[in-house]
Amino acid sequence: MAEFLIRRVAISVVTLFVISLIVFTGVRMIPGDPARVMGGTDADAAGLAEIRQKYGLDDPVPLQYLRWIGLALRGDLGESIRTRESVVWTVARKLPITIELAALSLLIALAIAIPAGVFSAARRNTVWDLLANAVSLCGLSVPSFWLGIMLILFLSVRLQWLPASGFVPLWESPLANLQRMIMPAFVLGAGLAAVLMRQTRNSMIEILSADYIRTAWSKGLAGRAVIFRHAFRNGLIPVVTILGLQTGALMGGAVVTEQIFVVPGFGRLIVEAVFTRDYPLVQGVVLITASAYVFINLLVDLSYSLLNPRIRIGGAAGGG
Amino acid sequence: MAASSRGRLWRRLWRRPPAVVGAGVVLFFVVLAVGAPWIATADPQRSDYGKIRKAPTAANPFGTDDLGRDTFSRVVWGTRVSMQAGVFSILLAIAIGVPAGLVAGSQRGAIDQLIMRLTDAWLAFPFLILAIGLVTIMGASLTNATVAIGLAATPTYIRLTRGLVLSTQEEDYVQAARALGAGGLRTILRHVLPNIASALLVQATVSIPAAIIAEAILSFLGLGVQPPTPSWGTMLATAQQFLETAPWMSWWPGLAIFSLTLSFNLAGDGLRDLLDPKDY
Repeated sequence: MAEFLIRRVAISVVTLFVISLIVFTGVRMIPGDPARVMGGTDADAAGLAEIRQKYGLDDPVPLQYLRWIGLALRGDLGESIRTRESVVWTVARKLPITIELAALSLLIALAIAIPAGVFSAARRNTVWDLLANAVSLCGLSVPSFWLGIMLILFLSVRLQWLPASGFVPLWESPLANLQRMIMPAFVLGAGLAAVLMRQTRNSMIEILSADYIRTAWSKGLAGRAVIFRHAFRNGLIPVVTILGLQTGALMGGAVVTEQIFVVPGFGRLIVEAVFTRDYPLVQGVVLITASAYVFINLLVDLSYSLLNPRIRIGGAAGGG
Repeated sequence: MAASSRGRLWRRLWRRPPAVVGAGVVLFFVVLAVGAPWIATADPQRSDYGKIRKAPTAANPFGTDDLGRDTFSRVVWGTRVSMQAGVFSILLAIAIGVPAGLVAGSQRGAIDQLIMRLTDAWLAFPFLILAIGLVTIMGASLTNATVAIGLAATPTYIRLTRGLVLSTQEEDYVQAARALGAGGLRTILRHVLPNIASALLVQATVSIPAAIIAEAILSFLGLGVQPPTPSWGTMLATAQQFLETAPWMSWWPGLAIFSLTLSFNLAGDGLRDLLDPKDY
């Protein structure tokens, strides 16, 4: 167990190191004077000199990297060109909104996918199974931003049930917040629900044909008891892994969803940063997102190994 | 012999009508993309200020947009952009990913470690965030969006190819080729590659629709195709501003993306069943 833990953490550290190298190199590839890139077009000579001094831009490149990563590890990712606020602070302020959106969409996805997946596995090859599969295939194929636009068209423009866009902080009015978050959360959760439903169905089918389940049936246990007490818990293990891998898609999806519904979160921040050529902000957001993804998947892998002792012994070998 | 096995393949294919329909619709879109100049004769970029945001009529079956351009023409021409971005980006991912995966899987050791750690790090960037980051560096255009999507999709192919090489190398026929004195490169090209090609093809049917959606998203955000070139993503971005007065502007481009990606997925599912007998 300890060996697996150390090995898994070591791989994550190496991955984070390579990520930082990629991000560092990426910003250096933007044409022009790096000090100008970090300081923006309206930075004056003194401002540029300060940036040059802070990041040691006259030093050899490896030294520049060490200086930059040292600052980053202490939580200094530079400041936004547009607002002159620290990048970490800017991100920290936007993050709760996106986390709320992601949490809501995760709830919606799980609430749809798990029951639908278990049900269609239990009623395999019936009309219901076919229907659930068709719906999940549509969920996989529908572009999220079009789904969002169609929801606005029908629920906001036509029926006027929900506001089309905007944001009200949760602490100001939970109801108004939910009214504005429910559509984006559904749009963000729909694709995830489709992936999770397929995974739940597949792993339930595999488990339901296992010997110990057949034993449970033959002992005369009722159908529901077999499905829930015996199959469900084991069937969920692969679903947890997929969930970890899907957090990346969730972060990417938040960019589009927040753009459509004008939710002022992390995703909208990155699009604005790209358009205003706010490179320090783009760099910070990309670095934070990738690191978060590595951490989440490390946690998922560790929890997975707790759920399934077999993985600790041989399954995780190979690393690739 | 060959004819009868082909007959069997056809029979198995016909038992999966959704896959056949999916492949048919994909083919239909290919025809649209290639035949755009003959199918959509109205100039997709010509504005007509007398016909701004008109509902569908016989002359403009999908209506007109905010500049009086024919939406039908723009949807048909947009097929070209989407197909181009989807296919070329995945070809790029295959061109980089498959050789890298072959090297990692067959060489092992330090090269394998180097390639795989780089792949892990690359995979840690969410697909869309990575594509956005790359477009920021390279600038917004269809070509750059295609390259960015291709680079973002590359690690999947490295991992897949490496995994396939590792499992294929244990097979008897590869061992036999080795024992007969075939060299490393020859074994890989003559024996391993042909046997993993089908799995790569199945992966491509999954990646191409994902790439098509990614291009539409980048263009929707203003980071891909630039106006006035018609693309489904930019059309939807404009359409969102006119949902109350011209809802038809948002129906057709979205419906086009949806039906194309759905068909790719249906065809891909069918192909997977055909090539992999494991039944779910």
